[in-house]
Amino acid sequence: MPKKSDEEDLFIRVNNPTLIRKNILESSKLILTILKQTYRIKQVREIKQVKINDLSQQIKELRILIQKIEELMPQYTRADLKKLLPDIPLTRKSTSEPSKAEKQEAKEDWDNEPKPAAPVSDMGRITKALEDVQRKLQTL
Amino acid sequence: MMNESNPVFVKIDKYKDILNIVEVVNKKVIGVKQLLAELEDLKDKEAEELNNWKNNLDQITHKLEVMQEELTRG
Repeated sequence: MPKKSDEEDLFIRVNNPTLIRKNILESSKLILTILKQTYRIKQVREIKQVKINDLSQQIKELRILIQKIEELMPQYTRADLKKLLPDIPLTRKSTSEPSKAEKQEAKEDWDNEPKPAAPVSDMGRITKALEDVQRKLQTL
Repeated sequence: MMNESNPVFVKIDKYKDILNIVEVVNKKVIGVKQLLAELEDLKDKEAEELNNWKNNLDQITHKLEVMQEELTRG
């Protein structure tokens, strides 16, 4: 194979090589800075995720506590109960045991009663709880 | 406006429980507020980093344009 002579090589004149070198070096520097920033953003996002999980846990606990307060507070006054349930005497429960027939009837009622469907997800449960609270607020 | 309703009576032991829970809830709410403030700071930090990122990319684009111009001028 014939060897290429120097005369066959073509060259392009670069007028300002220093400027190009400088730009290349500065671009490299910027790329490395961007890499560092990417790493920092990743770190910030990891911390954020931990904090969000923590926040979610705290909110769940708050919800349970508020639910507990709601359970401890009486729902109705005696006057309300008289209005709501006029046929039922508001006296202490008798200690007599329900008869077998009554027990059987209650069991059948329980079996026939449609069971509530389990909520699909956390979001579903939260939405349902929110609807319940809104309904309660409307009745106040 | 909410109407004033009839009073209800709470057993003293339950009342104490309610007060204790309210205290815990208050502490938790303070903690949650703190967490939210921290998240806000992190969000600002992230936005600042992304902004720097964009500025650096703009600078690189500019430098590449200058180099290209210099090289094509011959």
